[in-house]
Amino acid sequence: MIVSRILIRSFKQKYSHICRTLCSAQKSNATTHTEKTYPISGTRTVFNGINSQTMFAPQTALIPELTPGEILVKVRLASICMSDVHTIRGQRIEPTPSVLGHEAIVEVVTHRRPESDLAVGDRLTFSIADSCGQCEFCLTGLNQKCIKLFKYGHAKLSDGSGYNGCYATHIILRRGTHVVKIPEIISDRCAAPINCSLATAMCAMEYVPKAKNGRAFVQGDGMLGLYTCAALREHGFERVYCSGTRLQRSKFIEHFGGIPLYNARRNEILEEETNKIDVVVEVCGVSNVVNDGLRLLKPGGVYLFVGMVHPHSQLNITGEQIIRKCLTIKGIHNYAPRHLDQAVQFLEKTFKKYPYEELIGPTYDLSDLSQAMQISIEKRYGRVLVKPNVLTS
Amino acid sequence: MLGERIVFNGLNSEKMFSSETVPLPELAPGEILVKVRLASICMSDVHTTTGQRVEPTPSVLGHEAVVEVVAHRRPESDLMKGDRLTFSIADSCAKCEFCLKGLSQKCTKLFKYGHAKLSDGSGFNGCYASHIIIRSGTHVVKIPNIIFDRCAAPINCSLATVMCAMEFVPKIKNGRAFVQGDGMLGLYTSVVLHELGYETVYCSGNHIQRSQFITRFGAVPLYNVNYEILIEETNKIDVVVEVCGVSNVVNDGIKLLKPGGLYLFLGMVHPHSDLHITGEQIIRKCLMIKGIHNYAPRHLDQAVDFLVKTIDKYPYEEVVGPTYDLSDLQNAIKIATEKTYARVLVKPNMK
Repeated sequence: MIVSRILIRSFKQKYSHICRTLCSAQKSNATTHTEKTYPISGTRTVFNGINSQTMFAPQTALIPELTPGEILVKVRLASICMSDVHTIRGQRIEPTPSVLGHEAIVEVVTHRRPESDLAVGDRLTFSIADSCGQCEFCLTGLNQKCIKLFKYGHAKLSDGSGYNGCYATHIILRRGTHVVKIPEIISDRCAAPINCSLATAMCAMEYVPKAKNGRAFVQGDGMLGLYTCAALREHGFERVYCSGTRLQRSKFIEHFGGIPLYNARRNEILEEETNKIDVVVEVCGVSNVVNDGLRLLKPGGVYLFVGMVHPHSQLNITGEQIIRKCLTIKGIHNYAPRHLDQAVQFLEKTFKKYPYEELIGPTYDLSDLSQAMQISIEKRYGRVLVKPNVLTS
Repeated sequence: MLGERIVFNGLNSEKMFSSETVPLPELAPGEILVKVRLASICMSDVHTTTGQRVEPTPSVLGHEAVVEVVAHRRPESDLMKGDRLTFSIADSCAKCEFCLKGLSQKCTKLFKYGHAKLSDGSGFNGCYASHIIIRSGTHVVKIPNIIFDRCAAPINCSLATVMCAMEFVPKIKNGRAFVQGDGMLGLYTSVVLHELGYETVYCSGNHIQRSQFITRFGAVPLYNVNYEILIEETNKIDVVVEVCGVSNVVNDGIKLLKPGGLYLFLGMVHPHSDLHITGEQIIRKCLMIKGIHNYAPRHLDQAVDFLVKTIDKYPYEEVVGPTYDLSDLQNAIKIATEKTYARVLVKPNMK
């Protein structure tokens, strides 16, 4: 049945590479970290673009041999980030053909990082951004803007190994990619969204001042919103409001330390808390919340923009609003390696305190990716998961 | 003792400005009676007289001046009669949450010289007068002899505000900055960035006659060649500073900034400052935008220190224009409107 779902494609220019791979597999393995000898096959779900006849097409391809610094991992569980949903709805453009998916918990199959303490079977999360470590941005801790940036789930199939996204059985993690081991206490389901959503929230938190009796307002009740509520509470914020569009998230918001605000209650609080909020965080992707946010902020307050990374985010604000209250607005896009460390630490520390499991929805087989995306669009769950069946060669 | 003050009655009044001589009230504890040696006309006052800004009336305008102690009730201080001082525009309580976190300019009990009704406090609340009564919550700093009155007058609005802005500017190796505006704020910002170690500081504006001043203040003047540089320096600028009061420069600023860059907004403190930018522009480049309004006491200290340190290095004297008698205030403001000079001065009792 699995075989019947596999479409064998021609490899074109990859063919010669595969031949080389097959030949070199006969040589003694340079590292002793192999679980299996090459060749290994993997399956990846290729995204061909929304106007293509088959938007998603599974492809089985030999996994290339690792170059120094790379890690071959199998995908244990991937989660669907809203940005991928936007891609398939045409609100976002990604290069095609490509393998989407950038949130996943993975497991080491083999690696070429002899200086590390990685072992076969280690569960890992990994940085979405593969960066050079040497350019001015990497050197100032802004790796997500590396001049040689490569992003998993956002790269052409022809870039690197082609095993570039999480909607696949395997990923080849490049040598500029930071990885962090997942402690046992954290389940796969909760680990999957770490490397986009939670790590991004950690990056945002770097700009949140410690405020005595601090009050915050989180605009958005998705995964980012809920993580941000918990993070702000742990940071010492006394009152964290969270507003959104899904009334059914109310109880989750409460469980994550926030005060849910919907409809009339939201308008009441907007009035009451005008000029009283220390930090506002936009995590809903919608620009029309910004005027409310600016009103809520007290003089000297901080506004974090995290969600609206798309062109339809026109701001309807004045310079005066920002100046008169001496406000800070900070844009947060992705994160740097240290934030991945912080994300894992944060999750480990608070794993029993917040109902992370309950946010996560059902798991679909990789072959049902389209269906899984559909369910994601409905936004019933914080995250929808995808699990590949691992093929053996 | 009598003092004279020029009362601003509002735009629609028969006489916009009228002179008034009244007895100076007795000082309350913590207050300082000063005479105005030299006041300078800040652009915000120009905007008030052209109707772009609304201030309470009747009031005494003017908030930039170098003053001299006549008498005081601050026994714990080392103030002496005759001391030349600059003083904080903001009178603050030092106890509210904003004062306590160093944001005195947003004090819950804020009072601003040059922006207060005549009926507030002593009425000697602005610099277009012979005297000011400095209130107990007002920070003052002595002006060293090396700084002459003409250079001292604009310290307590323009230069101190720039010091406040600089608090957010990182020291960057081979830093590149872009100053949007060639008024007093722009010139001060250029020179401070230059002193901070920024390798290249561009300064653009509307007054091409300022070119030579910009150069002498350590920056690269940009006028008609603007567009070439805008393209060359796209994504390469570490810090952009808006000090021109016009919101349409912001799109250029955002384009210029490199990822992780900082945009300081200082000038456009008025309602016609619509921004035509997207959240995406800010997020994708991980930019920081910081609004700077006025300053806190420490910035006044820093302003005086900075000026002392650099007074011989830059032509501060030359950017300041002519001095008018207090009775010619209306005329002086008109000259200020023309923007021929970075500052126009006003001196009481010149005649």
